[in-house]
Amino acid sequence: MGKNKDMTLSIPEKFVNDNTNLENVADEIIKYASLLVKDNFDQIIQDDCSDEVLDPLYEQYYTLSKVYGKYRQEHGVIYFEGNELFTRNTLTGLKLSLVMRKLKRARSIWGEQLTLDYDSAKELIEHFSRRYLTKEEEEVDL
Amino acid sequence: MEKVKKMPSKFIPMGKAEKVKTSKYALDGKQIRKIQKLSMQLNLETIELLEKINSKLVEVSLSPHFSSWEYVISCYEKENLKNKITRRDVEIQELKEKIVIQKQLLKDYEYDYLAIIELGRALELLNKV
Repeated sequence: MGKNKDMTLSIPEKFVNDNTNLENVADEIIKYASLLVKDNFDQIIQDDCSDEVLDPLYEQYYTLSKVYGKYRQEHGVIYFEGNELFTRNTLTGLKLSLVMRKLKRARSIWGEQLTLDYDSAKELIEHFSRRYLTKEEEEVDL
Repeated sequence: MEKVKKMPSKFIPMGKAEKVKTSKYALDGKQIRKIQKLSMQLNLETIELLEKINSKLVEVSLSPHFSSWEYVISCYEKENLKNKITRRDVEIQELKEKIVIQKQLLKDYEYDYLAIIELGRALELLNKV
């Protein structure tokens, strides 16, 4: 209780008139506090801040937000799909040791005559294992 | 004779600030929480931030450009909107880049899957020989 004693705003009387609700003014002060504490008041106040200037800005922000929403939705769908494929590949990757064993066996039998590019196959298995099982490959922050 | 330096407009002479009549308003719980949140963002003590706000309010009221609190709000709102528009622009750009990357990843995942399945099949065939 005592701690909150000092939690007061000193609202200059120039800000208020008979119809002013101090609570509203306090809310407004808090809303714009991060701008208020900056040292650019004189520059801000000298700009044209009439409705004619503000309205197009509201409109611009609204349009941008709609575009942003559209992209977020698109990203959400692709991200979901990506997760599905990643999970599928991880599950497939669990069988990799089997594939690797087969590859080693094939090489031990056919050796140089193996009709399969052993090195590329091994590289592919290692890449798969790194990406989906050990997740060593850095995933993009999405 | 020593030249007297002109005072910067922002400078509030001692005593003048005290002359500004103010109404004390005790913040309610919700307002206090907002101030606390902001003080954390600005890396300031809550009381310190409140003092800063109160001194800025006096400074604003003494500015020769001050006409009414309503107009001040309009100007802050304009500044706010400008910042929000810039931020949205950046967010859209970032999202576009993420979509490009994610689309490439989708292709990669599909390619990896097909390649590993194909390898599995090739090995199966070899086994049968």
